[in-house]
Amino acid sequence: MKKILIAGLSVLLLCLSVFCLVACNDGPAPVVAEKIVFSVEETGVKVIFIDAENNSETAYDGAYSAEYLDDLIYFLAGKEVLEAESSSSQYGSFFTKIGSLSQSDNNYLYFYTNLDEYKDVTDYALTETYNDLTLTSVSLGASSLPVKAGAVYMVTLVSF
Amino acid sequence: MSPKTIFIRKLVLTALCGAILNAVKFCLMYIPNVEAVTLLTVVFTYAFGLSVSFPATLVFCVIEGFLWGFNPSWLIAYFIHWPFLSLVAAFCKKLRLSFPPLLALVVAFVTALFGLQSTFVYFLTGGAVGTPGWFSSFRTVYLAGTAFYITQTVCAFVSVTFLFSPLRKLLTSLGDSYFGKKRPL
Repeated sequence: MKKILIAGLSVLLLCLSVFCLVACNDGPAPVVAEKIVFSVEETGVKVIFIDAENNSETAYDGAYSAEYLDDLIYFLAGKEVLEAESSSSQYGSFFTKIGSLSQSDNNYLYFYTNLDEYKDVTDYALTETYNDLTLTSVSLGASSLPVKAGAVYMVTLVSF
Repeated sequence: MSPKTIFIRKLVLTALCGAILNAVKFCLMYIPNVEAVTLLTVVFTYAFGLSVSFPATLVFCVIEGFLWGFNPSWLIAYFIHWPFLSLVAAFCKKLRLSFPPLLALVVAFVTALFGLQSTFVYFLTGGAVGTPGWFSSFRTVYLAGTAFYITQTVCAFVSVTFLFSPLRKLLTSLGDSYFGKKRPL
C-alpha cells in the first residue's frame, strides 16, 4: 500500500512538473497582412484579396470544380488566380504559400469559415470578420474541409 | 544481488526502455499511425514487469514533451494512454493471458480508445466541453481522424499477434541474465 502511494505521488509530482512548462506555450496571434476570401455560391466562387488597409479586390468570379478546400485552392492556382505551394502527406495538404501569404519561421497559414460544423469551438479558436460575417478558425485541415455553397472561407497568417 | 543493486539496475533499465520507446516512435513517425510503442510497452510489461514498463511510459511521455512541446492538448492524452496501456498489460499478465491473438484483441481495444480519449482531451483542454455545439464539433474532428485510428488499431493488433511471442522470449532471457534469479515484479 505504501509503495502504491509513493508511486502515485511520484507520478503526480512528475505530471505537475511537466505541465508547469505548459505556461511557456503562447497561443496563436493574428499577423497584419493580406487576407484571402473564398466566397462559395451555387454557381461559382468569388476570390477576394483584402490588403492590410482593408481594400478589397475581386481576383476571380466564376465556376469551380472542387470537393474540398485544398482542391479549390489547387483549382484556382491552375487558373493562375493565385500562387499555391504545399507539401502533401497522408495527413493531407500542408500549405506553405497561398497568394502573397507565405509561411515563415513562426508564421503559419490559418483557415477560417462560417460553417458551424467545421468551426473550432475550443479556446484555441481565432475569429475574423468579413462583410459582417464572423468567421472562426477551422477544426480540420484544408483536405478535410468540404467546399459548400453558401460557405465563406478565409486564409490569413498567424504567428505562434 | 542486493536489493540496492536490483533497484539501480531497474532504474537503468527503465531509462533504457523509455529511450527505446522514443527511438522506435521516431523511426516510424513518417508512416502515420504505424507505431511499435504499443507492442513494446506490452512486451516490456511481460518481460520486465510493471515496475519497469510503467515508469518507462512516463519517461517516453516526458521526452515527447521535450521533443514536440509541452502542449496539454495532446500531451495529457499521452500521459493517460501509455501508462494505462502498461497497467492493462500488467492485468493481462496477472490473468496469465499470453495467447497472442487474444492479447492483441485487448491491446487493439485500448488502442481504439486512444482516438476517442485524445479528441476528448483536445476539447477538454480547449475549454470546449459543455459549450453549445461542442459534441457536433467533437464528432466532426473524431470522424476526420477515423482512418488514422483504424490504422493504429490494426497495426497494434497485427504487431502484437506476430511479434509479441518472439520479443517476449528474447527480452525475458535478456532480463534473466540482467537481474539473475531476482526478477522485478
